Amino acid sequence: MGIETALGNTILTTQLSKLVNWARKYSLWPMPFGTACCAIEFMSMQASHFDLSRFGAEAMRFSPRQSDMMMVMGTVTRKMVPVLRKIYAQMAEPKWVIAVGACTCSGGFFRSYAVQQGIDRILPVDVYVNGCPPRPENMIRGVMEIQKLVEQESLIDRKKRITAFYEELEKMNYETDYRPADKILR
Amino acid sequence: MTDIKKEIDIKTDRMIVNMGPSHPVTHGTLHIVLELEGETIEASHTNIGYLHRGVEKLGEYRTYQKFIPFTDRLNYTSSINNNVGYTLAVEKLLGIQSPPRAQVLEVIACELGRIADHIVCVGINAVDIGAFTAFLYIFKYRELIYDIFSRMCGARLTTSYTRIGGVSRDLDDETIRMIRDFLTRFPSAIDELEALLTKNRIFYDRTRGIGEFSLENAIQYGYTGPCLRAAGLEWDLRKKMPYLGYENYEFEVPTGTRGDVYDRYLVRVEEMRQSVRILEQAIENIPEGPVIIQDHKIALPQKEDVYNTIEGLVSHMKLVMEGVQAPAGEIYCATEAANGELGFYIVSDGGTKPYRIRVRPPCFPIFSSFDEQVQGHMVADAVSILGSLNIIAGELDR
Amino acid sequence: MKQTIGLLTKYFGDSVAVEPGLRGETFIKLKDESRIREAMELLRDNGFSMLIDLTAVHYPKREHEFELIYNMLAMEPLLRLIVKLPLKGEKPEVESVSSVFKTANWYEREVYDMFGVRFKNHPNLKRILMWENYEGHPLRKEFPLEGDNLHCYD
Repeated sequence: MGIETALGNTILTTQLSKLVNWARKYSLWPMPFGTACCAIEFMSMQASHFDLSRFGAEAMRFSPRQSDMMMVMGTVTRKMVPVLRKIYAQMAEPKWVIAVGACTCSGGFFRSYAVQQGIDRILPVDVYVNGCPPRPENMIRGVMEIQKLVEQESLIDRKKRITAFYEELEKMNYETDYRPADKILR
Repeated sequence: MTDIKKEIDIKTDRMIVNMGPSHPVTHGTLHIVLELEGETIEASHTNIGYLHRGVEKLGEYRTYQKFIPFTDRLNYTSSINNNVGYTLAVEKLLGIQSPPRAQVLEVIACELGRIADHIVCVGINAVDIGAFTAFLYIFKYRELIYDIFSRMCGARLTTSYTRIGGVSRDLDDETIRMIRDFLTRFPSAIDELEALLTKNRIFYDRTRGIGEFSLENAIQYGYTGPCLRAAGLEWDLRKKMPYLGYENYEFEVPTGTRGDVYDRYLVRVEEMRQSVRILEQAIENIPEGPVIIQDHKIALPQKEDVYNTIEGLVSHMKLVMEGVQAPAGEIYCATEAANGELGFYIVSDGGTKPYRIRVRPPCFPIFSSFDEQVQGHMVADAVSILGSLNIIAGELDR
Repeated sequence: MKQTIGLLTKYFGDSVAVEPGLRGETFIKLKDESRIREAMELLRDNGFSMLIDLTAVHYPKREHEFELIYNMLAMEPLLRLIVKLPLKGEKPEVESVSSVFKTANWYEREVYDMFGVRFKNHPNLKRILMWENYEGHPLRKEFPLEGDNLHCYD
């Protein structure tokens, strides 16, 4: 019955960030940004058979302001990019991003005029989940990876990493690094 | 009401409510702007295209077989029906027919897919209205269907089960046992679902009379599938224009009377029962024989032939490197997918790639009527109407 | 089916040609593009109550660059009829049929978006799948598969 009955009225010494991270790890609130097929598998993950609530991340919040883990599932088209950016910006810090499925990670096999080839040029992605679409077990593994990350990485390091990501993005030359035309496919 | 307004002279502006593109009830990526007068919807503007992936353009750059995986991602709640619809269209273009065993397997796949689609539609529609329990109860059975699909073709959702001229794999005894097991368990699950929803007062009040759509309007808007049947017309391509030997199965086409959300729900539930009936007949009468045609210009040869004979190796290589040679011409082939008429219009210029491939998605015309349908309803009703139309963004935007 | 073709030739004379399809399909080519609305009305009043599909095909090498395809369905008895309408020029314009079939509204918007065919008297001719200020029409043959610009919707 609670940790205090086992330990008595004692004082524990630990790093503050470790304690907070440990608590944060089991109370992730996902924000499902489902656009396509992967969202259907996400439904399976959340429903009775696979049951995400076993990992303390079942409290879906469709409002970005109430959640701290964004799951981007499905193809992100160029029309969707500004929406995605806006929703990410609305989420409160600290926040994590999982890119679920091939389309989100790299554009998948939709290498066409309308599809954004991977969201990692837009958002700082923490965990990539492979598969087209990934099985629910694989998505759960993605959530567990995030939990690991939450526990291990202090927020100070994280902040540095994300700033570095945006600096990298600023430096990118859109003419050379971001060319869409691939002559082979034509 | 208006008199009171005049008396105290309330000045009201129209309120604009934005739904989507990321919204819990938009089932994917739709953008709806509602103009409200109080709680009542005065006008609605829909904006689609957030999942436009250029599938039709991509199809022009790929051989006929390579388009099959793209059809998985059209209506992703029942991918297997799209596979069947597409390969039937290519078979029509080539003038071939799959062997009898393959046809029965395709019927089995189609009906399982239809059940899976209706489970999502009914379940999510109920969730939107506030009945979460029904969703959790019925979704368990979708997992059973997924298990069957995994055994049939190795994937849960993106099945790519069919090939031009047949299907990719044969059913084994274990899969047949699983389907039989599913068929014995599923009818009681439908009863359970109906016990939770059909006579549920809250569900009834939130769906009866909501989104009523007359038959004339439905035909004008090009409705097909459950939504048209709910409006009162007995129209099912499986009956009217049988393909895959659907004329050999006994089943009924349920219809509604008022064309509202409740009727659509009832039609879908009854269709699940009829699908079970078809499955029961199909599973008992699977003919023996090959599951894919033996013409190696169209279908891949057996693996033993590829490894042991030079003819097999050459035809395998030619088929993989070049693809199927189709005659020049244009065809349209339609099937009854879970949502309605799924058609493929293929223009061939005689090569191995389609010159133009057009997907006729069932929910594109259905969704175009949304603006008219929600007028005069409450905001909360827009949610239940949207759920009952079963809009799948993948096939809406392609 | 013969009745319908007879009716069409009666009303439209030489501007209607019947093309045999590959597998028993019937294609009707309407050469006079100004009379498409009339033809649709005639077909609707004679049993073809549903416009199943409306799309286009681009043939850059032909004189008539675009071909609109009206896919009609009659319910009792089940008949399918495909009306083809060849259009001349780079930026063709044609009468809208959205007043005959309500479903044509969105289909025509899609054709406009993907091919750049304009429809006269359309209530709301805007892009539907791509965003408003997008350049180019993706399903034209000269448009590269991966697009030629990187503009994002804003």
